[in-house]
Order: sequence, then C-alpha cells, then structure tokens
Amino acid sequence: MTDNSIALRVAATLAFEELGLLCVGAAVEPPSALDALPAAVSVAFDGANAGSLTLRVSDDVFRALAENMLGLDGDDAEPWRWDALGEMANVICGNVLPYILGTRASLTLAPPARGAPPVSRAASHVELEVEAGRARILLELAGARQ
Amino acid sequence: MIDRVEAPGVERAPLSVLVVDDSRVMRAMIIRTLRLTGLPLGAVHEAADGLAGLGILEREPVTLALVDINMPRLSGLDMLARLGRTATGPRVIVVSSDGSDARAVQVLEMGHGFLHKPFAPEDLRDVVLRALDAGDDDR
Repeated sequence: MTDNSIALRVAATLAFEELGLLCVGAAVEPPSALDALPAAVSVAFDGANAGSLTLRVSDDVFRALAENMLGLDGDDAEPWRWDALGEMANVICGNVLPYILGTRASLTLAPPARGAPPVSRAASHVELEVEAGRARILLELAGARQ
Repeated sequence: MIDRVEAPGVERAPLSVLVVDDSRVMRAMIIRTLRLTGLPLGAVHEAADGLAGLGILEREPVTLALVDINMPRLSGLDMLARLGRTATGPRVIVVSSDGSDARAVQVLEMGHGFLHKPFAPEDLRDVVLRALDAGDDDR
C-alpha cells in the first residue's frame, strides 16, 4: 500500500465512522468489479494542485449513509441518498488532501458530481470493507501548479 | 445512533440559527445535531450559498451562523468578509472539511470559530458555547 493509499484509508475511515456511523474494516485486494459498486460520485479540486477524488460504494452502503447521517428510515432516506454520498466524498477529499499535499496548500473543492471521471493507472486507490459492503476511493492528482 | 448530549446547566435564550451550506444533507445534519446537543433553538434558517445567507441576515435576527466555505455564487469566506464582525452581529462558526492549517488560521484571524468536518455532537456543542461566550464578552 502506497503512502497516498494509506492517507486515503485514514481519511475514509474517519469519514465513514464519524459522519456515516458505519464501521470500517480491512482494506481489500483485489478490487471489486465495478457493478458491485454501482453508486459513484466525484469531487474535483483546484489550487496548489488539481485533480479529483472518486468514491464508489456498494448498494447497501449507499442506502445506509443517508439513513445514518439523518436518522431516517427506508423510503424517507431515498431523496437524500445522493446528497449523503456526495457529502461523504467531499469530507474524505477535504481531509485527505492536507495529508498528501501539506497543510499549507490552498485548494478549492468543487461541489460533488454524480458519476466517475476517467482516471489514469497512476491514480491512488484503496478499497475498504464498510460493514457488510465495500467502498473504493480513487485519487487522481494532476501535478503541482507553478 | 447519536446519543443526546446535554448542554451544561446555563440558562440561555433560544438561539436563532442560520446554517449556510450548499449541501442540503449537511444542513440537515447540522440542524439535527444542534437539536441533539440540548441547546435551546428558536428559529432555524437555511441558505445554500453566501448570497442567500446574507439575504437572510438582512431580514432576520440571527444569533448564531454556521457557514461552509466552498459554495457556489458566494463562498463562505467572501460572505463573512462582506458581513464583517460586529458586537451586535451573529456569532459565526465556519464548518468545513478543509483540513489545512492555512484555512483554520484564516478563519480564526477573522474572529470566527472553526469546526472541522466530520465532527461529533459534543464538538459542535463545545464550539457553539465558546462562540456564544466570546460574544457575551464582546458586549
């Protein structure tokens, strides 16, 4: 596991446990097939460095997030699910970038967007057990701005 | 589930609160968490960006404003720069997932509180109480 992957694991664990009230287990390899992680959002960022963070989760994690974050049950949580996943990605991104780029780096995060942008093979990634489901986080860094 | 966190035994007037965040789930979560702290809440207003937040502040007497940083139209920091900091204005807490020291220092130097996401209910209660106490000292 690379240093960036460790940082992703730390930031994602913090966000899933404190914000989503979900227990995070081990990092898993090999990664799940994409159809096992059907819900995806991404957060683009710019400033000292540009890039994007993508969060993909299994359906059970997708459903549990809004229910746990807002204390809602089943159908009441449905309209909130994409917003909850987006906020989770936003918090992971905001927490992981200072680990990787330093705490003095000034960055601007765009609002979360549904879907996953294409990423290079060099993107950092980690996949985690989240309760009985899975979450994969990918971080693409475009390189430092001059 | 989050357990209710009781506020210390200080009698306070109901807080008129403004939550400014472009994420409606985060607005709902902050309001829910505020209710769980046991702090007395009066009117609760929501805005999805800094411009809408300033509009509410022009119309409503707000005691406490919780403000995100990255928002469309007008960011939280630009909103606060326009608002300024006065003894009679709302106490402001910036709530952000931005973990950089530079951002936290910038906010604290503006005279506002800072709360890093994710946060526990007791973290929110503590930063709110500190902001309100600082406001009392200013008056």
